[in-house]
Amino acid sequence: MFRDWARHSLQRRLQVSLLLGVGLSLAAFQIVVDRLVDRYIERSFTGPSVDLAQRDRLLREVDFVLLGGVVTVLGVCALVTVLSVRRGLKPLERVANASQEISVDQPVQALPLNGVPAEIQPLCDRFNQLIERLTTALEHERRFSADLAHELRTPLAEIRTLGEAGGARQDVAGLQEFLRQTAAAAIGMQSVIESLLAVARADRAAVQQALEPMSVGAAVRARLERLSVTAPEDCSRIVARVPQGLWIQSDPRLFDAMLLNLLTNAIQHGDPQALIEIDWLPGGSGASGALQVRNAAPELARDDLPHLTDRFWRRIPRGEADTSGLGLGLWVVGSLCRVLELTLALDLDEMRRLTVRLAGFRAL
Amino acid sequence: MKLLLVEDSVRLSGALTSDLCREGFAVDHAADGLTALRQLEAHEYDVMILDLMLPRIGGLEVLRALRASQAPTRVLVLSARDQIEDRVTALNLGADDYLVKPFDLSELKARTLALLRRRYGETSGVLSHGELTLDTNARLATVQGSPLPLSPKEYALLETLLRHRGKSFTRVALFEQLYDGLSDASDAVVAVIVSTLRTKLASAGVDALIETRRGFGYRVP
Repeated sequence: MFRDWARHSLQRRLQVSLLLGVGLSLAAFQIVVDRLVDRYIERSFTGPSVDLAQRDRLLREVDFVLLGGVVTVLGVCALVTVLSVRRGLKPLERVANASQEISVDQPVQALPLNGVPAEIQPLCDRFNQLIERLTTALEHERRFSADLAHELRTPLAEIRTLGEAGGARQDVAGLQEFLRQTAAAAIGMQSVIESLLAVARADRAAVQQALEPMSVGAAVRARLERLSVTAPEDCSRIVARVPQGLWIQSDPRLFDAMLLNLLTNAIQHGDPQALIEIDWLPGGSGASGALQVRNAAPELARDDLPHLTDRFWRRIPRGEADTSGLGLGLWVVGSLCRVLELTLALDLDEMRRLTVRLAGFRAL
Repeated sequence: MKLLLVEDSVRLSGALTSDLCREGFAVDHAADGLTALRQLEAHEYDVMILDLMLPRIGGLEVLRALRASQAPTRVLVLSARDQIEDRVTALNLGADDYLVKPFDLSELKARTLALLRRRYGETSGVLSHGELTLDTNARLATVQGSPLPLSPKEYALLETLLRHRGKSFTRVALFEQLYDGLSDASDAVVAVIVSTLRTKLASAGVDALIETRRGFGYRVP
């Protein structure tokens, strides 16, 4: 594409330069010849007789002028062509220099568009759009890495400090408490890492091709059994109303990751005394269904809803301090919903109950 | 040695409070910026250990408010933010030190003690009175080079009195220096600690170090 453009552009510039050079040279030549001829004719043919030698000299001079004119025309053409091509290539040189200065270590600068030929303008525009997208993506990833590092440092600091402080304890009960808290901090950290890995590894096309039949009731039961080990008190507040024998077409691993994040979110940010309800809502046609998790969220406002799926967003509580949660849970759920082609809906009713609904599961 | 720990992680603050209290510090804890500001208004702390990412009011706002109040409290920022600009911002706002999470507990304590020394204009970690010497880094009392076995509270009381030689402390003032705000103990415990401390000092050959000034409290002349 670029080669074609360059060929056409140069050909056009060459033609224009040649025409311009030839035109100018011919005009100048015409003026000179006219004046010479006029002068000699006036001088030679005003007398009573015509001198043959004088006429021959005149013809030679005319030949000489014609030859000189041709040489001059060619020279002028060559000069105009070189200057024109050089001038035409200057914007391209600037673009090429700007491209060469792009480095993986330096912030990427957009290509200069001043004086760029109209033919190459769309190419530069497209290139600049790509650079802009690349810069945005890099900034996004840089911020994500910084946020992630920040969020992992806190549980890491917890584990390290608990280990160091707990090691100095002499009493068994105190030591056991430190160990219990260390394990809880490690589980929290594991949850962050696994959630992020689940999102990073979930390729939409591959997941859609590998959907398999799974029992919703069995998946929910298995998740609750695992949760009862790590958070037995919170698990006792969870009520699941999922019909037995309900089968859907989905990815069991991602389904479990979503359910875990929904429940963790409800436990960490919801009312610690209130029930957490898991319901299955059958679709109208029976062709699809929705998983719904509802919990009391007294600190939440409707204005917060659009931010709940933002990565690392943390609500500033109006009452007591929010001491847990990394702002990842619902972002993970939202990301996995996109992979599984589900619809995520959030709602806060008048009783400040947060409902998270995942719709679009394919029934078998 | 009264510390304010401002940290929203329950596990981290619990472990730190437990360890620092065991060392003899009186540690108050605030889980958010607003509580921290209230506690700073109510008490004068020697050192504040401050997280930056806090609910309600951020750590930098707390720092700004503290410096605006001209309080002499030294501030050690303890944050997971490791970027240069974060450190520069906190230090420019008046933080005295900056430590990135995760951290070594002994380093945190060493830095806290260094801030404590700077708070009272001390250049070395040694306080002495006659044959009695206190190594504030090792938190060790010695008489003529022999270690004096003191409990953390006894050591803290002795360090407070030696650090402010000539100044009288009421029982309540000493209680505030030795115990955190949530302690169930009463200030009568100070008299008990002074008594046991005097006994230990006397048995080591240091008599009449702590004076009782009726109506004013205790002091080391």
